[in-house]
Parts: sequence; structure tokens; C-alpha cells
Amino acid sequence: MYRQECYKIFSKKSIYLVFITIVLLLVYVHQLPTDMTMRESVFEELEETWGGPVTEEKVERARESMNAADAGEVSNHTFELRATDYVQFLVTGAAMQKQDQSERLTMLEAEMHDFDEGTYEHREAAIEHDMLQALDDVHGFYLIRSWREMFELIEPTTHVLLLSILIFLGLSPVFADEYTNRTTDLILATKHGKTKLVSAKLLASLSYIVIVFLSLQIINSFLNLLKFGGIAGWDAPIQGISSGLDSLSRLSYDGSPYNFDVWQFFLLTIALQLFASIAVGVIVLLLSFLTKNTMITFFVSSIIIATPALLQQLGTTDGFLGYLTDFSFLKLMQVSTLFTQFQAYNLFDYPVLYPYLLFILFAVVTGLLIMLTYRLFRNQQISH
Amino acid sequence: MLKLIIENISKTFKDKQAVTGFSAELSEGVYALLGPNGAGKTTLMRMLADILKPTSGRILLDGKDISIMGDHYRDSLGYLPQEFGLYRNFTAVRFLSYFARLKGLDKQEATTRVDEVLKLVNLQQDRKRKLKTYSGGMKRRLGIALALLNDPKILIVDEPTAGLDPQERVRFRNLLSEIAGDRIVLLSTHIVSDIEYIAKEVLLMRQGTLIQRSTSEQLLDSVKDKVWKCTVEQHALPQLQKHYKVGNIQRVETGIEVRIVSDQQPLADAVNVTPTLEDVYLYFFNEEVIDGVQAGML
Repeated sequence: MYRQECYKIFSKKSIYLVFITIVLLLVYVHQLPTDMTMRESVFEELEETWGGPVTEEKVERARESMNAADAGEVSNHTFELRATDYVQFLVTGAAMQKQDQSERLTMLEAEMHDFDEGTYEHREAAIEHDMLQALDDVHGFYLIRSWREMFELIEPTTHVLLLSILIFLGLSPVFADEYTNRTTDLILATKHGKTKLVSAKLLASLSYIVIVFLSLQIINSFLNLLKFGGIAGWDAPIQGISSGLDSLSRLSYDGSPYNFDVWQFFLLTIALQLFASIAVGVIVLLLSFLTKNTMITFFVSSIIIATPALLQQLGTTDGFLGYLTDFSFLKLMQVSTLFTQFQAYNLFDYPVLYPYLLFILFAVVTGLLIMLTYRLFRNQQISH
Repeated sequence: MLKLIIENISKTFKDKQAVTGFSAELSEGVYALLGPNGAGKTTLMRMLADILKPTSGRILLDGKDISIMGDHYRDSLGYLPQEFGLYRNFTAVRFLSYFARLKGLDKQEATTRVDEVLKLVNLQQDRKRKLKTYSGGMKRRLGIALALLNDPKILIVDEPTAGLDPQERVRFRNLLSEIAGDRIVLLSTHIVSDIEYIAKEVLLMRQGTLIQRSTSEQLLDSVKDKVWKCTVEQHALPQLQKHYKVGNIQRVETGIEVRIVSDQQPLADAVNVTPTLEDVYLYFFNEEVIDGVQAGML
């Protein structure tokens, strides 16, 4: 049964067409010229001089060199000199981040002092304080190559768009096609038609999502490997990833309070993005059952994903709409954006970190939606 | 002995009463469900196929409520709806294998049964063809194969012969006769010749209720003195159709030979003839049409 459900999904030509188009888009975007990719050997030499956690001595040297360049004493016309200039810029930036972190810690200590221990404000400040304190010399220059663009496809919003299209295309027909094909009567009158079929459809859909997701990740990783020329930086702290000349993504983790190495963060984002894709897949399946129409499912699913983005564009993200946006499928899929800064929500006077709350909430919602799908399918009646 | 008891079931859709207080007890054999469009046959069959819940009443198989039996009941069931679809990209073998698993057959059983039923409906030559290339008749034969796939104890088939050519209809009729010995077969059809020789009993439905339940012989007997044949001139035909239930009309040398179902002798020269099930159908259900027309005129 599972195999045939997979066959129904994978025999649709449209998914291959769109998949190939997405791959071509990725190839196109990755071959676009960028200022620098840190793939050249000069960066390895620079890493020897400037690499690792920032120190006062490194900052001093970097500032002197940059001042000299600004005064026109040093030319930066060669690639090597421009690279040096860029690395020095990163070192001084890291020093500023380190300074910001230190100031933030002082501010949080003051907050903890000002508020009583049992208050929400005290608890929130304490959590952030502990997280920042746990970061041990994370700011500095790290030679991070392919990982810079491996956390999403091109950039977070495009990532959601591309994955969503493939999920909607593959899963919108899963239940809807049974009604369009008029096979529901035949199915529901069979022994396992009301129960195991739903499991088979869910499993087949899950397989589709996993295959599509992992295929795109592998292709994306491979393209990044070609572009950046290696996996150096896998053990660097994520704070070493800052928005710069070398990345399409505008995401910067230099202010992140999360204590992850790059490889740990990569695995975490992959796992969470996969979960997010599955959660989106589950809502698409439920819509496919409820609307009994592939096109309507596609349309409604698109609205569910796109509305928070539209609200953000319009700037209407205050109050209730703000909560709707923060706890949306869009945010869930934009995993890489969730760990750039400290954000906590008040849950019964206890602060819960936003990414964790978001995923716990959607784990519960997804579980409930799966149960609802089983229940509705089992209890449906054919009266057309 | 297998026993399916339909206990006073009713089904209401919003403001429409589709089936009203239907009761019957069925044991092994072929039962034919006859009635005009909108009589509630399909609704009744859907309730028996466990895809529609009765508003009231219950259905019992060997004393157990089918709504409680659930999977176990459907395990004994073969159902072919009047209108059904197929997966266009599937071959016949893939389609039946998929349904075999849905019906709870293991892989080996499924392979054997798929071969058997394809042979039974004469589709073994086309087993590897994609279903989008199948004709209407082939699709219906595949539907019959599907209903028989799990060797069901209860077979419910809604208009199974619609779209079949005469040869295939005879073949299907014989097939039903053969397999009905140890199972309950309930079929609805408009083609009364399909059931004339194979139905153990005929259930007549009108406006959601069971109006009569008899053997074919008893039904034929009930209209024994009510079927007439006479020859009239062309211009007299409209008048005759207005006042009587007119069946077959055939042009002959001396005018038009008509078959009339009527309690009284319609014309002086009309003679009694041996009734068929078509006459029975006309006797019981043409009234609906007349009533409907009259209601419209009012």
C-alpha cells in the first residue's frame, strides 16, 4: 500500500519539472560572481595571522593597518590586499561584537539586580545572561567556507518559497485526487481503507518530503562546496558567520547568544527545516482532504505560508498579528533566522526561548493535525 | 448460515428522507434491488457498504452490528458502486494489487487472486495496460474484478452491468449465479433481464421504502392477469399512453402492437399475455412518472 501511495506521488511529471527548474536556479545563482568567496589560498595565510578569537593585539594591528589604508599609505588594488582589508574589517567587527556582548552582560546583571528573583523580567535577564556567559571567546575571524550558504537554499525567504512549491505540488493531490478520480467509495469499503490507508499516505508523503528536502540539501551543499572550495570552519563558533561580501545570505550570527559550532548548527537547522517541511506537509494533507480539490489546496496552502510575509512587508506585525507572524509556518521554515538573536516569550511567567517554543508548539499542532486527519478520514461519509 | 439483517434503517440528508424504515433479512443467494431513480437504492447500498451511516436503525451481520465490527465487516465485503474511477496511470495489475492490500490480502495471496479475478472478467490479456487506455466496458469489468478480489461473503454491486456488451452481461450474470451459493449478493439494476433467472428474491423500493419483497415467480404471478397485448392504429397510441402503462411498442403489418400493464382490460380486443419482470417494473413504478407529471400540471 505504501509503495503504491509513493507511486501515486512520484509518478507526477510536474514535480520533476519543478525540481529541475529549482536545481537550475540554484546552479545559476551559485555561479553568479561575488566579490570574494574565501576559497583562495590567501585566506588560509590570513587565517594564520588573524584567525581565532579576537585579541587586543589583533584589533590594534588591524586598526593601524586600516587607518593606513584610509590615509592612502597602503594601496588595496591587489586581490591579496583587498582580502587582507576584508579580514581586518571582520576582526575589528568581531571586537565590537565582543564589546557589545560585555556591555549587554553588564546591563543584564543590572536588570537582574533591579527585579525580584521571582519576576518574569529577572528570569528572562538571567537566561540571556547565562547564555551569553557560556559563550567562550566566540568572536573573531574564522575561515568558514561552504557552510556560509548551506543553512538555506539561496536565502531564507527563497528557501521557503522553493521548498513550499515542491511540497504543495507533491502533496496537494494526495487526498484530493481520490475524490477527483472517484475512488473514495472503493477505498472506504475496504478493510483497511479507513485506517491504514491514511498511514500509508502519511508515510508516502513523509518519504516524498524527506527525498525532496535531502536532494535539494545535497545539491545545495555540493554547489557550495564548488563555490567556496572546502568545508573549512566546520568547528568554528556560529558567531564567526557574519553578513559580508562572501555570502548571498544577509544573515549574521555574530550577535547570536546560542552556543553552537558551525557543524552542530548545520545539523540542527537541517533537522528543524526537515521537521518544518513535514509540518507544512501535514497541513497540506489535511487541506487536501478537506477541500477535495488539488488547486484549492495549493491556493489555500500558499495563502497560509505567504500571509505572514505579506504582513511583514506591510509592517503590520504588532499585537495579535505579530504573534500570528511569529508563530507561523513561514517562520517555522525560516529556521536559520531564528537563532540570530535572543528572543523569549512569556509562558506562565517563565521565559521560553522563541525557537524552542515555536518548535514545541508546532510539534503539538502537527500531532493534533495528524490525529484530526485520521479521525476525519475514518468518519467521512460518502453521500455525493 | 450467513445472515445479514437490515433493521429499520433510515437515512436523512438535511431535509430529504432518502431511506425510510427499511427492514430485510438476507441469507445466501442473489437479491435484486429494483426501483426507479431516486428510490434510495444507492443510499441503501452505501449504508450496507459501511461508507454511509444510517440516521437510525442498524445493520447486523450474524447478529453483530456492522458499525461496531468495522474492519472485520469490511473484510467480508465486496462493493462496486454505480460510478467509480480508476487511477489512470496504473496498470490493471497494479490497481488490483493496491486494492488487494487495502482489502487485507498478503502479498502472495494478492498475486494469486489478482490473476484469478482478471481471468474471471476476461482481462488477463490487458493486465499490463495502463487504465487510461481502457474502454468503459473494460473499466466496469475491472470494477467487478475488484469487488470479487477478497472473495467476499457479501457482495454489493450497484448497476454492475451498465456499459457491458450483451456477451459480457451474460458472462457476468452466470458468474454471479456461480458464486452466489455461499454468499449474499445484492445487486441493483435497471436491466431487469439481468436478474430474471438468477435472483433469489427481488426487493422493490420506492421513495426510500421497501414496497415489496418476493421471488421473481411470485412477482410475475402478482401481475399474471394484468399484462395485455393488442394492435392499434398509430393515431390511437397517444391516447392509450395517456391512460395506461404502455410497455413495448412494435410496428406490425396491421398497425402498432402495444404491450399494456393494467388491472382492467384496456381494449376489447386486448388479450392477456405471460408477464415478464419488465412488466412487473412497469406495473410498480410507472405510477411514479404519472404522479410526477400530474403533480407538475397541478
